[in-house]
Amino acid sequence: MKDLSNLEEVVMVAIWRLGEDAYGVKIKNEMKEILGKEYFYNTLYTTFHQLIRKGYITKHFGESTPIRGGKRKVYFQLTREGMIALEIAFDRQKKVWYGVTEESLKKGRA
Amino acid sequence: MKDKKPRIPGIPYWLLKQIYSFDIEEGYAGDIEEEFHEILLRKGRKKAVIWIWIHAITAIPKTVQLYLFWGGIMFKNYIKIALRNIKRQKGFSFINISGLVVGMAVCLLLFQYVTFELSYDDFHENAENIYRLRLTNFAGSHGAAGLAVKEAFPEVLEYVKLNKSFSGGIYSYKDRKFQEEKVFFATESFLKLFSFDLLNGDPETALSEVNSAVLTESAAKRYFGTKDPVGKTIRYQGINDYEIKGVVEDVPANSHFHFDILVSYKTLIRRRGEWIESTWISCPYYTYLYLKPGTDIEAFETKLKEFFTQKEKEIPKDKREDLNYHLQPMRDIHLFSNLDFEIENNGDGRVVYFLTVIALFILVIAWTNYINLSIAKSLERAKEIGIRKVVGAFRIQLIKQFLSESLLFNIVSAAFAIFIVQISSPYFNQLVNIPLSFTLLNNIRFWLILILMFSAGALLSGLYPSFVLSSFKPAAVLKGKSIRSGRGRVLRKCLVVFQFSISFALIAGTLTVYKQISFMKSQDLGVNIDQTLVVRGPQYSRSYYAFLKTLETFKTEAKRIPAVSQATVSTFVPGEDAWVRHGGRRKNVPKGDEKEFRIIGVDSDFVNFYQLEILAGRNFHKNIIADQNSLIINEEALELLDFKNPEEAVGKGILYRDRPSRIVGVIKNYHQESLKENYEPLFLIRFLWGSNFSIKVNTKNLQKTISSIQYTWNEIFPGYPFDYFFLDEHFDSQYRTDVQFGKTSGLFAFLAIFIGCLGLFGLSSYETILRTKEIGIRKVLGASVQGILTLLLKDITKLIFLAITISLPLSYLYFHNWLGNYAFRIGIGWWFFLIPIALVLFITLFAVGYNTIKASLANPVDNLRYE
Repeated sequence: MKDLSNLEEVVMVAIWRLGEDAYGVKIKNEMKEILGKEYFYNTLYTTFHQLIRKGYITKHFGESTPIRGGKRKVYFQLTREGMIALEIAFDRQKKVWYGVTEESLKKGRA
Repeated sequence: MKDKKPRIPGIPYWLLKQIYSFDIEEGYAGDIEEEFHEILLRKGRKKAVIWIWIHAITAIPKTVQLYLFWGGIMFKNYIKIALRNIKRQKGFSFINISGLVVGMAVCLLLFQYVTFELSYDDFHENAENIYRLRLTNFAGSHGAAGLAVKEAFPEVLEYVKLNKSFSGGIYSYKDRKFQEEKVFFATESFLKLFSFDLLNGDPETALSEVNSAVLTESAAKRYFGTKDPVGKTIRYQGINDYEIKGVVEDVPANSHFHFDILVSYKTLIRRRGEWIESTWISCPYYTYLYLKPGTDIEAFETKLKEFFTQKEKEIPKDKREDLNYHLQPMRDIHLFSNLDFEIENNGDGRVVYFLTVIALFILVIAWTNYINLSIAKSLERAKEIGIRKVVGAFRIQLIKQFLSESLLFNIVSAAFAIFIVQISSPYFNQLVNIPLSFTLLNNIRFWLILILMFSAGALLSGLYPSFVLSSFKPAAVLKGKSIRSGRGRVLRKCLVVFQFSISFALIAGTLTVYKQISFMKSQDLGVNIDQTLVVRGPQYSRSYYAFLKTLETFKTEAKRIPAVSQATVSTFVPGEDAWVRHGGRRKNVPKGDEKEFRIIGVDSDFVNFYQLEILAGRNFHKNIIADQNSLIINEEALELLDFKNPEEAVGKGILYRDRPSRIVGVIKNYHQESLKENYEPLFLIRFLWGSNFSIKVNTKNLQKTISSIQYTWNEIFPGYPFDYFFLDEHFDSQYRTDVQFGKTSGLFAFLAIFIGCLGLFGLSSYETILRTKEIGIRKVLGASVQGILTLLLKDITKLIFLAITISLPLSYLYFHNWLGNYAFRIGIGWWFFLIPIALVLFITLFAVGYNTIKASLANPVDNLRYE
């Protein structure tokens, strides 16, 4: 199993949350809500490419709208491997943060 | 929603789209457009445009990175293949690269030369607004002209009057004494108008007083060493002290005049008299006008013409000469002015253009070779191209590949060429007579032009092959079908014809130049200049009779030296431009209708010394006092004065400078100047305003003879430098530029043919390889070796003859025209056609012969088995 970078992790979570509706603009907005940060499309698409290469997501074409200049949407979907990778990532995060609470962080030590 | 047409800024959108290609681009581009419109609806157009720009700009590094990455990988592959090809076909690569190297090197050298020649007088800040006032055939102007023009026209902001002191003179400081040649009298505006930087002193006042002078740095060093010269005085001819008011930088080589000492113009006025400021008769003054920037020159010249026509009416005829004035841009003087009385010998603009054209031709020939050979080699590359196409190369990629290959060839060649230029530029500079150290290698503009030229060349020479090569059909190629394109062959032939037309013209030209030079050198001059030593003597300054007496003393003393047989003194020696001219007319001709004659002052020995042939009358006689007012004229003058024959003229009175004189003798025309010039009407008079001693010496023990002459010289003219030369060498030096031209065009002819032959050699070896099978079959069927040789040579010979047919009339016209510049010239005869034809044919057969003979001698069995 290949490691996920932070950005890849966030992108995958965003795609998972969006479910059926995961395409560029939505993913970007979702990520903005999660992290409060604007990403550039070229960064996002580079990440999509990497994830496709790793086999964690697949893409398929959707409908086109006039607002998109007639261009079709590209939807992304998690694969089985993607789901597993996400679970592993979640587990790991849990382990990393085990026992850590907000109060203990504010106190300054465990 | 639909009627609101989504408009998205083009440039950033395009930039963004460069990042990804193929299918995903659609989603990506669509996403950007969607968000753009969302922002547009929510926050307005301005915000949206800013947003897309930010996106686009941040995307650039990524784009470039991707582009370089993939482009780089392919480029590396192209270069690798190209290098392998170079290695595999060493002969071809050598021919290709060496041709390009020579072509480029020649081009660079010539570029250097042309740049230098075109840079004359550019260093003056106001160069483009400075004009020289000249007469129709004369570089000088009248003493009053400058001021008159300045007062009449507001366009003239300033003027400079310059007078070259033709004798120079002896200048001294304490015990340091030098004979100066380059001394000018200049008005005070000189330093303001021309950009000679004053290192020391005040430009406003440096030339404003009587007896003040400005030295150049190197002249100052001669007299004062490292001491500061300003405020010191140098002495002229032991009589006049000039105060040094400033030191200027040495005059750059690319200036149309060079001075060592500038003396204030007021000194000249003091010496010659106030009249020189208002004279319309004497015109040895160079006048430069500084016109208001933006003046319409043509309109101004017309006004000037009207002004001088008016002047001609105002001034009585005996107080003026013809005032046909013209303007001449200062920057054109060096290349395009060949008038009488020029300050220095100028260059020749036509030679510069000729060489430029030739340089470009040579480069084009080299590139032509490249095109030719790469198309010829296409067969070998066909399989590679086929495979590339099958594997999925686009045509544009193949074009890119061949372009990068030609770029590689050109870059390698350019590097070698620059190396060669570096090494050979001193020799070349010497050949074309420009300063040895002059080089463009540290000039940024030169490099820019170089890069531009070579990338353009690489592109052009790569373009055609790349289109031809990339058009192969992979299936046909891989099956092994022959892919000789008919179109390519025609082009190849055209290029060969082009190359050899130029080569032919160059050979014919070189031949003409050399023939003309040797004709001029071998022609009877009508004057005997052998074994003649010339010593430049002093000018008369105070007592004429005392001066004459010293001259006579030196002559008698010199003749006492055993190796000296004769001696004479004159104002000019043969081989010099006798620039002094005065008017003369017959008694019945009204005043004002004088003709102009060149004047040479001589003694009674001159005619005999130079063995001038007397047609009628007699030579001057030493003891006849009336001979002071006598003239000897030449045939040309005879004609101009309207005498029918020499006998008629003898004894006739002539008004020379309005004083009655008498013709005592008529001499045959002789060449006072080189054979480039026509015979000029000439008066020999018995008045010596200057002195040049001609001494006939025995060439045995020359060194000793010269030193004894020098000894005598120092006795009689103490302190006057002994400055001598041999007349025959001096005379031949008039042909220096012609010899130079001959050598240069010879060199280029050689190089052009060399490159052309390289190409031909390559082509012929390729053609014979292509026809190996054919030759084998022919031999099996009984063809003789000679038969095959003729077959193979027939094609190339046809091309050469076509080239000759094209080139011959053109080069005939050009060189016929060129010979027109020489007053005495050869006619173009059979040699002009036959020798170059024979030479070109011989050389090409030599280049082609090796491959051809090898092919026709080969065993047919080997030939037919070669697959």
